[in-house]
Amino acid sequence: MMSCKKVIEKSSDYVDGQLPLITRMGMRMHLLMCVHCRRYVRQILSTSQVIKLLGKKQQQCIDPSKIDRTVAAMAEAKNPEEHQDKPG
Amino acid sequence: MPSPTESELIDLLLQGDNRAYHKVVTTYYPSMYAFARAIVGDAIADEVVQESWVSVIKALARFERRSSLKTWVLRIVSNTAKNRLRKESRLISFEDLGSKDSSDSVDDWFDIKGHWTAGQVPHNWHHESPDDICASEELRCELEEALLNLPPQQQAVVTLRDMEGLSFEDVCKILDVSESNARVLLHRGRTRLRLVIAEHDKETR
Repeated sequence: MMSCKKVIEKSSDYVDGQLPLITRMGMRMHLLMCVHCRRYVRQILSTSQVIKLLGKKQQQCIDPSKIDRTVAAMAEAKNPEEHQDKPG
Repeated sequence: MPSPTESELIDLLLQGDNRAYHKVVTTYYPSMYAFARAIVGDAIADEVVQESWVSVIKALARFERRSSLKTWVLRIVSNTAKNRLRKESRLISFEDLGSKDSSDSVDDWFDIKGHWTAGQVPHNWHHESPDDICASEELRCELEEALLNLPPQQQAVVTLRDMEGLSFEDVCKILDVSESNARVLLHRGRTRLRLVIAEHDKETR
């Protein structure tokens, strides 16, 4: 039987579906019987989903002047001759 | 492979279409910024993003379109950021996965047989759904701060994987780390952030 310590170590991989079948089944057996690990695994899953939500809330409008500056730099990189001062 | 619309966008970018520049920058800037910030901190994250865009335009003709545009662009951000760290001699700390930070150890949660010790068992949270958890502005601020304080590599993986929803394959391509390393980093980052939620829950009972 997997120990709780082992289960917790693999909890992220488990919620991400990254474990080979045998290991996954061993985890599931343990989780069926262990309320502490079951709770922890649910909480790790929640945590990853919270992080995703945080990202969504952080997608505030970027300052338009940053966008403009960036676009200007890109245009210059593409056509440097056009942006050089004409001799005269 | 990029979607058809993405292919059209790339073609417009190659032609120097200004509206395409605007669109692509507006679309990807937030993700690039979040990722750059994980590596170089927020003081110069904007600079790194802007430098990256210039590199994108210069290299775009060589983009083979085998990955999505976003993955390729983030890879450029990763290189630009690391070069910046190199210049400032900060690269070592970014790549130092080896020495496990003591705050990542969970050994004292378990006894010698690997069972939970009594005082360490996870307690039940008031709220387990992400929406309910994020409803607290105070907790959101604590989490955002905790994310910014994660060791850079953990922060980078958590940002790309959990925030941006990129596959492990893409995360590894962008950061140039092995999949097993990426998984360890993700696990450590999530473990730390879970603790923030757990502490907050305890304190607000």
